[in-house]
Amino acid sequence: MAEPAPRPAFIPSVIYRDRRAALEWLGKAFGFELSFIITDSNGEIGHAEMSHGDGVVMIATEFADWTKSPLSLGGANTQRIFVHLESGVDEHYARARAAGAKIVMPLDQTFYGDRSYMAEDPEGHHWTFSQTVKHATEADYNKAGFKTSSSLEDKPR
Amino acid sequence: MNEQNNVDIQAELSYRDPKAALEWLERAFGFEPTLIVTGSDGVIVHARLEMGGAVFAIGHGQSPASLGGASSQIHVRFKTPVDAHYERAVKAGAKILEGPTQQFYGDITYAAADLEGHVWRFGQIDAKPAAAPPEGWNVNVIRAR
Repeated sequence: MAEPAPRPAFIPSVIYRDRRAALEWLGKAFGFELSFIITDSNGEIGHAEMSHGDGVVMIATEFADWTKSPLSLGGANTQRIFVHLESGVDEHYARARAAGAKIVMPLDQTFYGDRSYMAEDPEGHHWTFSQTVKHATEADYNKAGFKTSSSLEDKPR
Repeated sequence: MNEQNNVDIQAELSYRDPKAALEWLERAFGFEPTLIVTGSDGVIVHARLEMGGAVFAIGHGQSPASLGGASSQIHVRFKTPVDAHYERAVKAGAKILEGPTQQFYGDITYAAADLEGHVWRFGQIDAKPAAAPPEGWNVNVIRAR
């Protein structure tokens, strides 16, 4: 039997006002699967996680002063969640659009080698779905006007 | 450059000052940059950081400090105790939101805000055996991870 992957070392917890609606929508639009859920005796959700491949994302509520849905931040995001797809980004895009996702960046080849798109969910969170189709080189970055380095001490090449 | 440590889901956190963030995140949390992408104006537009298998990215944009809240909380999970990590964060000036606390599921975690207000929860997994959840709670693992 295949051994389940260990939980990743890094898990983003994304904040929603309406967690239940988010769990349903993310499953329908993005194909995330509910992987872990804690409910209390009234059926209220205490904790929920969804998975995609070996990645995990927690779906949280505005549980503290410092956690706010984009709905409470005037639509602003403080991060983007990148989901890497082994394959099938075109189908994924079609599914998201069919589910009513707002497309922030249409599906296209990026200069850094991924074919990707960015969508916005009903509360305004930004999700990027990317499939690597080409491994980018230094030259690809340079051609797009960027330089890369691997530490702050390095002079950008 | 697109190699990932089999990480399917990754966050890119926005900072108004990515360069200051890189320095601070290393000093306070021990994250090391592995890739820094700079535009022609010298502004860092994207950087990848990692520590112990945790990989994430930062970018240039609005951050919680300027917005009055964070739309995510980032969990970073260690196999070893986080006491030293906590002390280091405190010394670097991280705003501690919750000190190290034993969670019912066995992890010992603490939460801190970074220099621009992003919220981080660092924890040692399975520090203690998981206790029973609070009364009336029903724990449902759908896919064992």
